Amino acid sequence: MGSNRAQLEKKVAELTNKTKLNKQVVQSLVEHYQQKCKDKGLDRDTVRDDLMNQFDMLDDFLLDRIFRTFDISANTQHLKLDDYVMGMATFLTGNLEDKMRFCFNVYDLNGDGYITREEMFQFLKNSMVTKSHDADQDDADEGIKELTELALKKLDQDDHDGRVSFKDFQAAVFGDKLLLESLGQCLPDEKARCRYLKMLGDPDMNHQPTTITAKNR
Amino acid sequence: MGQALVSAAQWTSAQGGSGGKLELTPLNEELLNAILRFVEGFSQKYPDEGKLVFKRPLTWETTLSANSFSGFKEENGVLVSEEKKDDIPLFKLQTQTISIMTMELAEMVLRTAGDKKITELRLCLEANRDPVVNMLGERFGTVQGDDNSILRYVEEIRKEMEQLGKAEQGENEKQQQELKEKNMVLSVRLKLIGLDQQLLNQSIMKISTQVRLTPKMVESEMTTLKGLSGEDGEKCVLEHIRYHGESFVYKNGCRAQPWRQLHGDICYIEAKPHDGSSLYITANTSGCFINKGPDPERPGQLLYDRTDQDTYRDLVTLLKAKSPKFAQIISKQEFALHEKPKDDRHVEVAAADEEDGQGTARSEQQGHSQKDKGADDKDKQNKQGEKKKKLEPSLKWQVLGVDDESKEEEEEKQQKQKPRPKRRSSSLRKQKTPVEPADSFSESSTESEEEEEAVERRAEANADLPSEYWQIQKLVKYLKGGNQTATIIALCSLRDFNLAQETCQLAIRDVGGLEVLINLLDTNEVKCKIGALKILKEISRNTQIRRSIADLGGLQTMVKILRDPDKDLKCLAAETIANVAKFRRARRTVRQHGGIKRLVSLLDCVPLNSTNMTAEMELDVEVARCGALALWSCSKSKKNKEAMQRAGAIPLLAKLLKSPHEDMLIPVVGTLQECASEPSYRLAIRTEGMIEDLVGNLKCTSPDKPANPELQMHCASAIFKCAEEKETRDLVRQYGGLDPLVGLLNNMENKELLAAATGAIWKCAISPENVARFQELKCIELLVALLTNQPEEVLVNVVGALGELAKAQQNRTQIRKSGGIPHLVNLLTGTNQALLVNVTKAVGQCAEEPDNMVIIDKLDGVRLLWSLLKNQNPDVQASAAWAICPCIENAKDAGEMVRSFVGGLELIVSLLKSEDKEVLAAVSAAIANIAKDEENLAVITDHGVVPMLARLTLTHDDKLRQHLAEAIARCCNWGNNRTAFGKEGAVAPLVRYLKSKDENVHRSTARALFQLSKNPENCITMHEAGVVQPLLKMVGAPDADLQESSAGCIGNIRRLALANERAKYA
Repeated sequence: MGSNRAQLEKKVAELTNKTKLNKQVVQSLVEHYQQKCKDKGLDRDTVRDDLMNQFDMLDDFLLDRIFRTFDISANTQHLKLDDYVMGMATFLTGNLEDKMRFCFNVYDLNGDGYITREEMFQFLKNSMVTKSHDADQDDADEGIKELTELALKKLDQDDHDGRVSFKDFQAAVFGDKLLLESLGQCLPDEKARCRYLKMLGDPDMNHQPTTITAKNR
Repeated sequence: MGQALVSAAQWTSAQGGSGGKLELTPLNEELLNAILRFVEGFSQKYPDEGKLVFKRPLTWETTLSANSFSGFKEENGVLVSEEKKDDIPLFKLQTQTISIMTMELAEMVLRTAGDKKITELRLCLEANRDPVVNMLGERFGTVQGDDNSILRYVEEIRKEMEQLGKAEQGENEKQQQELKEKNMVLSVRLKLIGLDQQLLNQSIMKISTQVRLTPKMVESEMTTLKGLSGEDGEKCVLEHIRYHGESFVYKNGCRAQPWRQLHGDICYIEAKPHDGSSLYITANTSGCFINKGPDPERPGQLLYDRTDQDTYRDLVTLLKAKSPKFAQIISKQEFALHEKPKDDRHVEVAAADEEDGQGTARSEQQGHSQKDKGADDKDKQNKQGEKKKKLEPSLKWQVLGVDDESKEEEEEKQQKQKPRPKRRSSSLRKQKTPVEPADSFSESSTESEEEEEAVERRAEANADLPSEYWQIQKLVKYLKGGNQTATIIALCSLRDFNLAQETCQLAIRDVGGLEVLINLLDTNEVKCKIGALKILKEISRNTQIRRSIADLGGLQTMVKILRDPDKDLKCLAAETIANVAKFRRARRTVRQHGGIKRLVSLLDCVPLNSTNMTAEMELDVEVARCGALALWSCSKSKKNKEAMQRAGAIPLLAKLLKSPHEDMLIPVVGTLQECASEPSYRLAIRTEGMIEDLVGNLKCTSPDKPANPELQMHCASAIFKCAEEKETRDLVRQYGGLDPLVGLLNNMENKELLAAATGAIWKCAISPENVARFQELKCIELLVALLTNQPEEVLVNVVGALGELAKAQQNRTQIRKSGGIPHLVNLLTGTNQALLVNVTKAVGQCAEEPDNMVIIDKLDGVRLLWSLLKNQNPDVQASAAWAICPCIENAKDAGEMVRSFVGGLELIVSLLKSEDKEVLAAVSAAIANIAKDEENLAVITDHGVVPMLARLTLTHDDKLRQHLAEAIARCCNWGNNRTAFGKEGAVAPLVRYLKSKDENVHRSTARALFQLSKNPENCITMHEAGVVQPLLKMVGAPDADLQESSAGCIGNIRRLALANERAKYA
């Protein structure tokens, strides 16, 4: 047990180093992990529920994508501690670069380094509130397709090759901050983020409200 | 005229046949008038043709009675003429049926009818649908298509003539007679065809303007019908009638959604007749038809398809067809309707005359315009012309730059002056205002603003929609129907359009994008809010968008956002407020929702000059800058200025004024400059040490970087306003502000900067110490150079500055040497009141120098000054009168000069009736100078100057007293004026002047009393009024002049007493 604790402490120190998170926060995250952890690691549903409850993120599809993006070691069903903490670090306090990478990975469904039209369509297909039940499904699809084209036009900033590379994405986000989460929310909003960090016991939270948009005006 | 009557005239029953009536439409009226003109004077022009007897008589039911005709004999109650043709009398009047057989008679009947001739003509034409047939025979009947009757007739005549040539002499006499008659018929026919042609042309011109419905026509019809609608089933034609759907009026006058406008729809109307259910009507450019009414599934939307194939020419015809009750009532009203416009228009113009003064007149006019149906455009234009003219004089306050509220009004008035071909729409906007709860402000000015709001919608003739329009519409659809993700993509895509372009701005509004954007501000999505504000910030540069944003309640939401922790959001909201709050109602809204306080709190940021700014601190500074921008816009309202001061804006502004950044300084100085119209701010600006910073910003800060002209302009205008106070003027000098001000005069291009700089120089020149510095800087030469080719705003200040500087003798010489006097005299012919006040002052100052006076006299400057006494504005009058004084004093042979102005002396005496104290004082001073010349004194005495001066003596104004007493003293030197002053009761009040504290009053009063005391009666009055005591004191005064007059007066009194005594004891 003693060695366990020492091990844990070592782990926390290591992760604190890696993530630039406050030690207390890492501690809390690790504790949280261990609490919820099943034998193989953090289970997908747990993470999803967690995000849903804490950050009001409701889109299952996106939550699933976020889980997969956290899951760098590609365990597919379970998250390792390192992955979890590293993921949460980006999620909570990442800088713009980290966040762009994170969002891009979320959107890149097949992980080939490009967001294609089809991938975009997947993200956007539910983005129109269908007005009436009898509305033509084709019509609605047409609308989504057009929206996809719009999004593609906005995001494919660098080389205009009809698909979005990370470079494209980066250029687009530098051009307009709002495009960071243009295919769906995959980062917490400011309020929820502060609340969560406070809950984790981040002492800086009271006087350092860095916002995503703050740095780029 | 056959064709014209058949095809052009508008008959009540379209299918023709007898019994139809000519509708009373403008078109028919014109046709009738043209025919009338043709008939009248026909027999004079063509006496032979006038006597041509018709084939069949023209018969109709007349309104004339038998006894109005003379020269006919009566047979069994039937009035007939002597001449007959085939036993039918050429004229017959039986009871009410009249028949005539020649044009001559037709003319006679019309003449007899007098002012009812139009009615007669109408009745005649209604009874004889094709009069040509009656007149010339069936062969000339009007047919549709090619009309060869004339050709055939000509052919016939030609043949007969040939025959005639062949035939023997004797028997062709009869034929010749026939031929002559035929020729006559032909000639009449040709003339009638000429008329027909003319009528058709006329009606085509008329019709081509009316054939399609226009928004204007629909609107005028709506206003008429609205006026006639109501609960009363007996009198009112409809229960109610109103526009259906959105109350928004597009700038082409349509109310239909733009995509419906493509189908030609103008607007949708819901009319509820007394019989039957509501009718939903589409007013289309092709006419009016019934549509399928509201969509049961989508509330507020209409089913646009027509129910049946019938399209009606206009609303009234449609309603007549659909509602028998309507038809019944409207037919009763129709005549009243058509005859009304004339009078109404008259009243409307009258109302408009009063309009610019009072808001109440406007509502009155509004009422009239509702009733008014056919007021034509020309009339409206006239009215606008009048209005424009009337508004002009108020320009001056803008340039004086002291009163800001009036400047604001000015701004609004100017907006009003913009071309406004769409007055119709303005009256409509007004009508619907009560429906909009957002506009329910208690303050009275809303209405006038509403007016200007509508006015701004400039007419754009072409309703073509650019391609951006459709793209924007699609994006707005995503905003409306999408979730957050779709919204953000749409918002980002919207920003790819050129939002500075008006078409895009208006497209966003027209497709309902503004509502969505403003609604987004109320959500919790920071990203959506930012995206929406970024767009609003751009499009709110457009005045119409601003108003729409305010109407939609956007300001309230943005004021709320100012408290948001997100600084980007705060910045954007403040910047958008800065754009929107450019008009009064918006500024008031910001204030009423606590926006001023929050904006002021934005100004409170970290120290500006710290060397290592973090991103966070920079953002804070940015927030402050945006706050200042918004305050700048808001500070154009007086109440906002007060609110800002209460919120503690002044120290914060003072802090920000130290900023090294121009972006920050411009809004800050701009705000200060606006606020400086308030004395409290002027004091604060001085005491908070802001003058130093203002002066500092005026200068070129560093040699390599030129100063920002906009910043300099605001600094200069702030100084302009603040330098009303002496301490401020001194501070400006102490901080070395005069040099850069003079330096700015070299900047000939930037007129605003020039106006501000010259304004500042003007005010600073009030202090003599500053004048000395200006002299050293050779300011006069620069200013004189600016007297030509400058806009009035600059001229006013330049001339004002010269006027101040010319108080120093050296400068007066300098102005002459630099050739300024001819320019100044030239400016006396201007019309700008503020400019005239300053020019007269400057010319007056220059005239103090005899050398200058020579030039002024040569240029006939005194005559120009004199004619300015006729100006409406008392300020101009007074200042002209003041300027005349030194002119008379210094001109050679001034008396002769003054006499040479025809009616001049009478004019100046009549100004003693003015209400304005300053005018009175100035005129008194001028009269004192005029009276030096004996002959002129005689003339003004004849004009009754004595009683008028005497009446003024009761004043308590020291300035007036001084000059009045002076004038009285001078006027005593003629005839029995002394006695007359005594009789008019001027003496006793003058004695009271001695109690005044003003030494100048004493001096002139003593002089007047001395003059008056030469009359014994006056001495008695004076003595009774207790003159001796104060005069005795004044004998001991240091002023020699005063001593002398006082002593003289006492001497006169004493001499009278002695003489009295001597008489007693002699």
